[in-house]
Amino acid sequence: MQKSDFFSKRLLWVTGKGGVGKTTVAISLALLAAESGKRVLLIEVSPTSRISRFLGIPEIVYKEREILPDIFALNIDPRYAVEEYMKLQLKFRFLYNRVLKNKLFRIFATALPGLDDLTTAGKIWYMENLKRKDGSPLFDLVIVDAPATGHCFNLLRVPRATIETVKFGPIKNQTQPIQDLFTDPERTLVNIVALPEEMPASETLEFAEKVRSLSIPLGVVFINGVYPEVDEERFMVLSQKLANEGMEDVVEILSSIEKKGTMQKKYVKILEENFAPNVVKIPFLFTPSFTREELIRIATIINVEMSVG
Amino acid sequence: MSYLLDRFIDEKEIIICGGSGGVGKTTTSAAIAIRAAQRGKNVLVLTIDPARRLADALGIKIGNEETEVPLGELGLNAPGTLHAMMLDMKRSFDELIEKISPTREVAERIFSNRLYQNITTAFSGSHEYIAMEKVYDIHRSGRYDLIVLDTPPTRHAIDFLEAPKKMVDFLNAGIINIMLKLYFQTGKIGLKIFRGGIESLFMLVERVTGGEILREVSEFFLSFEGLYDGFKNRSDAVMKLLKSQKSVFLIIMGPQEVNLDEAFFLYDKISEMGLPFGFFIMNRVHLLPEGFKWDRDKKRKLESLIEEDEKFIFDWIEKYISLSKRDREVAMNVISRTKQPLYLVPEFPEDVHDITSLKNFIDNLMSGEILR
Repeated sequence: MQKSDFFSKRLLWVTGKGGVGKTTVAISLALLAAESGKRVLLIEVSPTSRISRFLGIPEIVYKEREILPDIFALNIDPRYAVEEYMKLQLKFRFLYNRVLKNKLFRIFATALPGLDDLTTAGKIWYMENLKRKDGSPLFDLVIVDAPATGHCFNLLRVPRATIETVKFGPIKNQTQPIQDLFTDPERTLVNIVALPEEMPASETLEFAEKVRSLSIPLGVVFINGVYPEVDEERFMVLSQKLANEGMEDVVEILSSIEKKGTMQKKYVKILEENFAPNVVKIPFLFTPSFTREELIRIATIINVEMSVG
Repeated sequence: MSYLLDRFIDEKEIIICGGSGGVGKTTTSAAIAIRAAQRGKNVLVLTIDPARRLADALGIKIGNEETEVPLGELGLNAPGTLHAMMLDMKRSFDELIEKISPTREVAERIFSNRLYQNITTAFSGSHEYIAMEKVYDIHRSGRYDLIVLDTPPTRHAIDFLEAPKKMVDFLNAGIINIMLKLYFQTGKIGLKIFRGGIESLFMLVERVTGGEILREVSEFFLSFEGLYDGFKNRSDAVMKLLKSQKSVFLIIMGPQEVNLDEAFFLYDKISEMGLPFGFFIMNRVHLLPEGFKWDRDKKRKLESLIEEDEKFIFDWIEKYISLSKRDREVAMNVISRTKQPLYLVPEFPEDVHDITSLKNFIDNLMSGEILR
């Protein structure tokens, strides 16, 4: 996928199995977009703010704030989203205070399955839809650092499920624009981060299939943590040589890297076969921690890969 | 760690492996179970979503069947036995309802409620709840010496600890039901007696959703009325079992710094709830070979042995060293914060998809280093 096509959208989802580097990729994409002059909103849907931990900044909350030049961030806690939604429904202030402070309301909110997902999806739509006074969008691009695939699927599905369930009335009317946004290939892309390992790779294939079944457009698959490729035969010869010289410990380290690279090859191939040309490979950085510097490095890599692809 | 893990295998009846997603929980749980079988235990490993090829290799079927893994045929000699079971959420829930329903009709009425159907799949915590419930059930049957639970991949690793209470609280919303009944029977006028938010809440929900959902919620709670005590009793019993010395919790984690908060959060919750804790298992650690030195002599010697275009291996080694330092720092951080032992498991650069690789993985697991 061309970089210009990719960043011309309005809403980019970044999901994947737990621990594959969703947040890393989401922040890197935000950096890239901001660099090209866009005003970006980064939305995380997570009970604890991972973005703030990555960047070493104060907790990201429900209200958006600028965390880096031209990058705004907010965290959607479904509880606040439900509250906000109810407030919008209830015009009278005194009423909603009574209702929302009510313990029973909390229990009731859990009793309506999917309410938190619906209001989270609604909040994402709402933020994407925010306008300036002149009618132009407040944010040029919204990037969602989404939950892991299972939960993310619920978020993507909830507008459609809601419309099918309620069929008519105010809820249906409010949900339709969310569904329209999610399914519009001109505006939305769902991107998946995967590690070149068995579980993340097979989960990526399954998830992609499920997203397609919702008629929601798929974007790029980011293969994260790709180890360097080495010529196996040459590596064997070298290892033998080093071992003969009593450098077994060096061989041990090298071969653990080489082995992992070899193991990964198969899964890189599977992912490429299924998603090429919309595949971006991100090398394993061998870095002890992810500071801004590394994130910029990853952004640069994505930039190069996308410009080529 | 062999002695520490083996001690738990010998002494405990339930080992619960917690931690966030993507840290190798399922494979580690399977490996612990096999180790237990090797020590002569009759063990069951309960999992939610195993890697397909690992499941295939072990012959685990989807559904609530306890399948015996033919260790001998697979070339793993063990005096004990290993069973594996992959939890089917929907079926487990149905079984539970059947068990605690006074009559078949009550169960049927619940099964046909749309809210119930949603709850078994969508209610946050329902997977966790049912996993705990299943552990309790199987433990009570006495069929196994040891149960290893691979906890479900949750949004939040502590969800599974709070699930039983959440579920009970939820079903205890009987009061809502009473209100709803009044609402439907008497209309809005009758609600004058309830000052405060309830009336406006119902008006709100009705306005937003139409009366339909209110009616279903009401029916749902009505169906559950007689079942509440059953739920509550079982849930209390589950917690009692988990708090007893028969159980032990392990936290599995990765070596990256971003994992720390989640692990600490889970650990604090475990201590707060008075649940017995074992140790941390840190997977995928970059361990240096014993006594490894990276000094000038070694670099010089290496340089003399390699070609110009092989110089990249210097870079590899140095990066690997810095990763191994990072891993150890994160590990030390865990230990100094929690005062609990931590087990470092070396990075295992293979797929675990068949018996040979699983065997290697167990060796790898047992070869690690304990920090305390």
